[in-house]
Amino acid sequence: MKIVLNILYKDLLCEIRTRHVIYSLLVFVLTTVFVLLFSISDNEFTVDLSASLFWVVSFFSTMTGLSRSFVLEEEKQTILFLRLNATPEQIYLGKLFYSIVVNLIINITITFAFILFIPTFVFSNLNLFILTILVSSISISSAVTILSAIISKAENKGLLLPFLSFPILLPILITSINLTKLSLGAFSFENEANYLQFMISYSVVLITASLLFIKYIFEE
Amino acid sequence: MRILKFTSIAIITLVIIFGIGLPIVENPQNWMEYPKIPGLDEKFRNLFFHVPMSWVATIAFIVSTFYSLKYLNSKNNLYDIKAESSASLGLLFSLLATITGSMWAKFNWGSFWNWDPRQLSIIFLLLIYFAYFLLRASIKNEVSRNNISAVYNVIAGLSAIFFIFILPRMLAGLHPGSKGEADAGPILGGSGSKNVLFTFYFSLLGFTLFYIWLQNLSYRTRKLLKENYHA
Repeated sequence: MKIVLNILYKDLLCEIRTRHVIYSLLVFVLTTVFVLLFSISDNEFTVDLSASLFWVVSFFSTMTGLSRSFVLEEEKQTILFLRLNATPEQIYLGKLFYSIVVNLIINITITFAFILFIPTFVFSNLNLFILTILVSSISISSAVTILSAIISKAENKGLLLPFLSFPILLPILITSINLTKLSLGAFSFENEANYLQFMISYSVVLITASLLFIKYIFEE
Repeated sequence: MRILKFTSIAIITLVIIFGIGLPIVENPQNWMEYPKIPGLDEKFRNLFFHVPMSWVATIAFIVSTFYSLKYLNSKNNLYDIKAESSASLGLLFSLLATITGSMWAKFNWGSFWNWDPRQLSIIFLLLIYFAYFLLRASIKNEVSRNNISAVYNVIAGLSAIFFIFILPRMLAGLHPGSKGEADAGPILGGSGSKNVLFTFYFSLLGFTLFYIWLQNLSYRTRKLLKENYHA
């Protein structure tokens, strides 16, 4: 556990020193929100549309922000040093926690941008929205971390990650969109527990599978 | 395998002849007649082909995941070839199921594509397994290619379970067995006709045997290619 926390600390320290991910994400989020505002006029933003756009922006920011975690280690050839000092499971867990932190930051940034700029993005159920952000950050990170480890060995890395992760992330995105719609508008609140259970079980399955199989990815 | 080839082709031929050829009457008297199902008429014959294709695709993906697990367990390259060929067959049969399903959707639901939950899940199954072959193509080192694509295949198989068995049952849709429906739809559940059920199960058997033969053929072809051309 100490090694896991050390890896998380190391990644966060690298991030704070270079600020590569944070700056690129800020620019990315602001650019997409402005493009949305230019292309859609105020009265066309329905609740459904803003909930869906939130997760579209979140998906693509995640793809730009999180794809780096394993790829960077592979490119700088530091993965071997990590392998010397930690087991594959520990590396995976460290990267998973790092992904969850970054993903939470992404989603919170997008939330503030949406609250500022989009008129219909007003919560009727704030607790549900916070829970949605939390649970979906964990599930999205659990899928993206293992896929990022998978693509770090491949040739065309930038193209491959969105292509591999979109179908795997889709169940999470659909349920998150539905939950966001529920937390924004005056809908009936009967399905929310179902959706949350679905997301949690999906991420538990993914994390368990990743922990079981991560050691095969590092074998050469 | 020779017996499998001829039996499966014979069964599928019989299903095509009887499934398309037998007449539909109001009150079927003998075994040579299908009952008339209100609203579906001649169109329900598609069921004899569409459902077995989806069934075979599901089996193929499960078999592929199973062989990937076996590969990871034993590091025997033959299992990886088996997993790859089963995934390619699953892709083929899901494409066929999509085509027959679109025909059904056009004539029963009004358009080729309706965004029913099962249509959604099949398009993502197709994407997942296209991505699997893209991943295989983009890793040069053979050991890490086999390892990594096996790991991806296991993860893909796990999310395929959510796509095939869980998501379509959570959402309301046009297929039988969606949210709030317990029966098997008007044809298999409602009509209660023995010979419709018989043709249907016969077709399932035929397509399953056909898949086993194709899987063996595809595995042997890939193995020979690998041994002789290092492809």
